[in-house]
Amino acid sequence: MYTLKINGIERTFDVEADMPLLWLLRDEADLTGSKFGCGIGLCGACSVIVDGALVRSCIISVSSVAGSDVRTVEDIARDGRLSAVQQAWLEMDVPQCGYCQSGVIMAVTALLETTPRPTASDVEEAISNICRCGTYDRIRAAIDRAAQILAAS
Amino acid sequence: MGGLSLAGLGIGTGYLATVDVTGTGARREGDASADLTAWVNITPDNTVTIYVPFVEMGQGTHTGLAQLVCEELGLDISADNVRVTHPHEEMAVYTNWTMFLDERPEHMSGPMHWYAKRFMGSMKLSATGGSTAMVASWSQMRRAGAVARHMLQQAAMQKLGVRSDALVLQHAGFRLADGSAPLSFGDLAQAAASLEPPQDVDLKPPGAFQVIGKPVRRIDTADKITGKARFGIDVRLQDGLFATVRRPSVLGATISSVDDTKARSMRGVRDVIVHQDAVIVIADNTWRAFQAADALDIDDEPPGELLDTAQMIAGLRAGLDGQDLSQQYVSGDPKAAIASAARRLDVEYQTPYLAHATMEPMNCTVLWRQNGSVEAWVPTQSAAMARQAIQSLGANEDVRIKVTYAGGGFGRRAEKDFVTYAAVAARAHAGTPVQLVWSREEDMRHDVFRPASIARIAAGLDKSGALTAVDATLATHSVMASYLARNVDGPAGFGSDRTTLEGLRDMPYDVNNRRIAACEIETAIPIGFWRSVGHSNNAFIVESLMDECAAASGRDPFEFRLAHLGDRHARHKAVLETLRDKAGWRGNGGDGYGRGLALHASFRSIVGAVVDLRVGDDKRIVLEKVTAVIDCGWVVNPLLVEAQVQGGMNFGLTAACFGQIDFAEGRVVQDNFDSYEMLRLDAAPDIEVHLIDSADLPGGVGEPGTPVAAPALVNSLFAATGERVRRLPIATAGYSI
Ligand code: FES
Ligand code: FES
Repeated sequence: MYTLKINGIERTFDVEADMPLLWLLRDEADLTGSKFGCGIGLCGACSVIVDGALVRSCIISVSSVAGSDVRTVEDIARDGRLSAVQQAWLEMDVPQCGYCQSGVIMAVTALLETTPRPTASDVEEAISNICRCGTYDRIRAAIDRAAQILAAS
Repeated sequence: MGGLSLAGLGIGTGYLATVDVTGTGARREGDASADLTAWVNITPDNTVTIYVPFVEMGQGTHTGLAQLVCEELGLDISADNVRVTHPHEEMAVYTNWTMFLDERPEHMSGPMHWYAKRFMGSMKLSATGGSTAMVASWSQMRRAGAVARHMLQQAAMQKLGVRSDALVLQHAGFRLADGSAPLSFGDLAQAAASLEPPQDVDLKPPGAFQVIGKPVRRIDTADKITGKARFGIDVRLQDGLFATVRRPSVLGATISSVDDTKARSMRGVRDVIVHQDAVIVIADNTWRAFQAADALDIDDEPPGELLDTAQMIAGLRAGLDGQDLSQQYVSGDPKAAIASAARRLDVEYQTPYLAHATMEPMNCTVLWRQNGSVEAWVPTQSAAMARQAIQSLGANEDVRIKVTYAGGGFGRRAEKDFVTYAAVAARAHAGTPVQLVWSREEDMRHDVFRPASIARIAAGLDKSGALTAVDATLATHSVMASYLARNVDGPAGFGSDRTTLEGLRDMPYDVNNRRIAACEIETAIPIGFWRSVGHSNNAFIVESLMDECAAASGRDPFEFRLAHLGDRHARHKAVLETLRDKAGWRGNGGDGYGRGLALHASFRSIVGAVVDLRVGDDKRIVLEKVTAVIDCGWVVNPLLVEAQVQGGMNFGLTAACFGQIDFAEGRVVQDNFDSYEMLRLDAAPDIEVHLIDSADLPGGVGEPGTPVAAPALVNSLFAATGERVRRLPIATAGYSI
């Protein structure tokens, strides 16, 4: 039995210790916003924030995050208000298929929490997600825009 | 497809005449809602639903096509009461005739098209591919909006007892000119649905467009940034099970025995099914299914011949040597012209096999009921293919395909394999929904691959440096032959595969003497449609050749191309001239800095691109910038076009830099993103896209950005280093990124 706080709600699951967090979220907790892309930590589609740090949930086991605070893309908008990152994503029309974007949004959210005014090289270093649709131009523009929105608020 | 073969199938004109190919009829579902045409549904609470019969897999089709309806129906696309979805039922009128008949709807007429449209319509062949959605829908969905508007207006006139000119159309409703008597579409739809649809409606003249041509934001973004959007893999049903598939990693191997003792003993595992060359594991969680699949002990019988890249390439080369041709097009006298040329070039270009690697791995969810009726949630480019796959497994006539969002398609989702395995799993557990998801490794090893190719070319230039002859033979595999053999039961003739030489056979440059030929070598490798299909190989070939010829004659690559474009190709010229201007072209660099260009027409659009890059001593490349120009005819939504050109370019650059699938001892070598790399944000160039203002009928935009990427890249590398890379990916020449 493992207890985690997921998006602010404490929940307990009877699962194996080595089940990756991704599959607990998707198949046990019914939170399908975090995506399966590679299963080996290479694409970032499964990115979530655990105790404030960005992790790739496909390679982190449930036992290692027991008792932790997990935030997924479903909880980035608060009280029906989109976060600055989401607002920027909407304004810049970023997603194409959108499958990678949950992960990218989580990565950018984590980046801006520690580095509210990232330089181009900060962004290149922090955002290593794969977008097969190739939305990188708009991701870059939207990160700038999100930083602007945050600075103004 | 002509009348003869239809007669052969015993389908008479009497039956065909009943097939609805207009879709303008109206239909009431009790008092709950009304369909006004096959594309618009209105409920009494004034929710207007627009049906887009093309899968949304990233190309923005749900937005772009909904704009067509909104334009004529006076709808604000961003309003809360406007919804856009894939239709929930298959209909004859959703058949993609444009794709199957390779013709614009505006140009379809005569008895051949009369028959073909109805015959295909009778099979309900909706399909998303060939960048055809906008081309196919441009007139059709505007007409749908206009017909619905007309019927709603008639209903409003009757209700208020006024003439049409007393009514003003506003978002989802009408009012009287003085602002009184507002009637919503929801108030009118039931009455409207009982009226006779008009035979003829006037469409808005382009000058009056308010939605078409505007930078309308995508309708699916809000759901895709909050985790709400449901892709195929996100379908969740009451008491659903999760499954996966495992096939022998040796392609073509048959399963002789499976020891599933361990797998079956694992937690959550419900079943293990052997189906032909696949083992399906069903569990209560996807990861548990993956784990159990890893624990299977599969004994397989390898095929007589094991696939091997070196052998495949040798086979292509043998085809070239033997000139074992399957297609050939000759004009003028290329042999003589080359013999008498002032300068002769002999070159060989080579491209690799490629995987699709859609971001969302293959998956499908199926509920097979006890009575044999089936519901399936499928991220598919072809609902018809999914339906047929399920029916061939013994389902009854009642098979309903729900097309979900797809996390990329690129041609991969035109296949039926991922539907078949899910349906087999669900059939064995009738009454329980089963979602079957492939691991990334399975997805890549059992992809259907873009064919490798080798082109052997001789070209002749005269004294003035003009290209007088091209003699080209392309050795590759036929996509069509492989696709049809795998996906369609029974004989399916297609003549010669027109995708093999597309973009090469019809290269736009004036060359009086040319021979363009293909040897399509049979192969056991599953070959499939891959974003831009034949163009993905052929643009690399033609545009590398043009660059080599320009360099050989000491001419500027823009000037050289322009000099070989005749008046018939005014649009190509305009793209090049705009590109030269927008890219600020002043020669092509040198000393580690390179600029290279490519121009290519595909899917009824023309794209030109200049790649700017730097190369370090260690052959490390920095892609600085891409400037692209597209003429896609009428631009319905500049934001969508820009996104597709950027995305298509990154797709092409990814392939050109890293893309290569190898076969060794019968297995696919690359199986995840470590061995099959993708361009990421740190290496992706800034891509600036310029659109040509055009009043021509719209062209496709999903694919045309891809073909130019590779040739513009190698041409730029040549400018920077003097090294001509004739084989893709450029990693094989030692370049890294
Ligand atoms: S699915 Fe976790 S990094 Fe790819
Ligand atoms: S938007 Fe499709 S993979 Fe990124």
